[in-house]
Amino acid sequence: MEVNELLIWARGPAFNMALAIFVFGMLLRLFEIISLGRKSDLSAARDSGLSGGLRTIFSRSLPRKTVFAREPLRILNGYILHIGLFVVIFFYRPHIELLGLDLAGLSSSVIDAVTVITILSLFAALLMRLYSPVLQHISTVGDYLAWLITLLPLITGYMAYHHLMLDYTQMLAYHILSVELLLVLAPFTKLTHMFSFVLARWYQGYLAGRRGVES
Amino acid sequence: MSQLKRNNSQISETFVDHLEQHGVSRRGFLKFCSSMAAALALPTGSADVMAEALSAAKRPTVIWLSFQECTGCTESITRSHTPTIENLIFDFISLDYHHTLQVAAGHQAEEARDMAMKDAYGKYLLIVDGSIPTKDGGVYSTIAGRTNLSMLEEAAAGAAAVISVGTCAAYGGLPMAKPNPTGAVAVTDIVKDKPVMNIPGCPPIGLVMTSAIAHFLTFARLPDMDELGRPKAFYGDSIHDRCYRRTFYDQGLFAKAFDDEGARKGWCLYELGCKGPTTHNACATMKWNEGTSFPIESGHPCLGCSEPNFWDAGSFYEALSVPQGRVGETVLKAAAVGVGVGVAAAALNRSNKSAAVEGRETMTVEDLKKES
Amino acid sequence: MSSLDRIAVNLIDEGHSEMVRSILSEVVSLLERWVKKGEPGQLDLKSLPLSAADSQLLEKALGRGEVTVSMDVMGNSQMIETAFSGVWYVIHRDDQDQVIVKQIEVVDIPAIIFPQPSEVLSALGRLKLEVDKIHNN
Repeated sequence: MEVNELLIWARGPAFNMALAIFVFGMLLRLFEIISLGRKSDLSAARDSGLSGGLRTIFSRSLPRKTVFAREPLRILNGYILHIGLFVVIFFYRPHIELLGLDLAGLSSSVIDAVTVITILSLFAALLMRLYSPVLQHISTVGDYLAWLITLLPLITGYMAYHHLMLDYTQMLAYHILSVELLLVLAPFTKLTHMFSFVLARWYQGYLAGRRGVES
Repeated sequence: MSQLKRNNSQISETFVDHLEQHGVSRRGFLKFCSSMAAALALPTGSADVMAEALSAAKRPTVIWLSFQECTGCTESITRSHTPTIENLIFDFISLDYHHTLQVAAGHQAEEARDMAMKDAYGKYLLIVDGSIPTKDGGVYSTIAGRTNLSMLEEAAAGAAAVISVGTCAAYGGLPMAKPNPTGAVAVTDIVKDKPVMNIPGCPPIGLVMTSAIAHFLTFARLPDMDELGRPKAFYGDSIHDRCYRRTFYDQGLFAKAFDDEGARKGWCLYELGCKGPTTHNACATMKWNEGTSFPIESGHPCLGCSEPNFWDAGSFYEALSVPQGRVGETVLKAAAVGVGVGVAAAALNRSNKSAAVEGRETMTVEDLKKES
Repeated sequence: MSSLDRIAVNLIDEGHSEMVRSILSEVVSLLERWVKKGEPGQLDLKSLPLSAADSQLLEKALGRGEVTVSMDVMGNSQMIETAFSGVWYVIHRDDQDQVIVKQIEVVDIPAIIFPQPSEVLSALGRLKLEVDKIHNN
């Protein structure tokens, strides 16, 4: 397939397919989680589960002193990675245009720097995983797959912008295709946490709230 | 007929002889060579090499065939300067057939073509504009009762090289746009055994056409080309990389409507659908109409007209990053299916669970004893 | 001159453009080569992304010499000697007065100025004819 045709395919049919699988998969996963159901708690609630749940959805985004003191690097790297991804996805003008949002956007040089930091942060995360005996034991193929499909869009986007290795058109097509790979696989890997974190935190907070303990 | 014969006798004449006859001095010739070397972005010193090569070169026969096209390419080439099309026709080539520019018509014109092909067999330069319809035996475009397909096959057989002028001849162009009712194809789909150079664009810049032709005349071969068969000297850079508005792209400053503040300030046209980043052409450097301006300079985004399939690449006025197709519909349908299957999966899980609960057998102390 | 040139542009004198500096050092090495080896050199200015301010800076740095040759063939051409002997500006324009070539040439005198021996020979013939005509009248 000639590069322009590839780009047309990536921007059109492929994107629609990938998006359909993403939406379908994510909803299916969320339904599965919700429908698992929980045994009804027959004890009298000491406090509101509702407020506890809502609070925890946000409070868990902040580090806990005790946990942070134990693994400051991992937690810091986690912040850098997630904030980096958020910035490059939502504050680059062409992406804003794609998402149909009304945001101001940042200059290319800022996005460029954040991309490099995010890529470095992903590699730092990989090293930590490889050198931690505990993580080694609990890591599965899925973890490494999730890491790879997160990395690919960053790398291809960076290379397209800087005209590295391949012609811009071709690299742009690969960049879009790598995002589509991410969309297709996200519902079936640990990347579901982009949505399911809300449910998990809510449930923890809800339980703690009912028991009247901190969460 | 006598005029045709005289034309053919001129084929053997060298450029310099011909120029002298037309009152062009050696200095004029050297000046022309420097300007050509500059236009073709040849390394310094090439003008002298060019002058030497051209001094001995013969004026080649050129046959120009127009197929499924709009004559925009011919319109554009007549606006070339340095060399002008007149320069080319009168001084450098023997243009023996071009059904728009030639005076002869009807049988006389076709005879001129036949004769030129016969006399310069294996040596003439064939220029084609327009795509070639192949469906239903190629009946959708004919000249003097002959299909474009048969005319091209015959003319290409005796050509030294072929130049496809315009996106239609180079890549199929508008006639090939979906659903391609005439089965239009590019020249390279038909001509496989001859060197073919593509000069795409809708239309191409006149100067690019004449300069590329001049290159063939000077060096008797086609210039260096990219994988899409385009001369690198003109199609090596993307519009975006050479665009004077590029700095606004990098600063994140974009026009969002054709008459907003950003547009008036000359900001980047990416969000108005500019295809500059994926389009390779010389518009941003050579510009149009004797260096006056180019579309982006006039405030309009690049359509990407020199790239294959540009007409099927979605809206001209949507940003390159915006996906094409009915995305909203896709999301709704996928969501509906997702919810449906999700509910079904949930129901299945629950029925499995209750079946498991119901299917439980009570175990007594006696049972345990039996097993041990 | 196109109407665009009439638009007032405020040029900012940066005084130390990277582009101009690198062009000047290129001219130095070309001139060195001409002096030592007798090889002429050229530098195409039109293909370089020079801003109007850069062009002015360059012209200021090279200055004006004593010789300017104007040539009318297929449009006007000018060969302008800079303040440095052996360094010339060569500007070719077409018959619509568009600049088609703008380059620096490093050579004693640009080759295009010299007539060809064959041209001189034919000039001799034509001149004799002309003189004969005058005598015969």
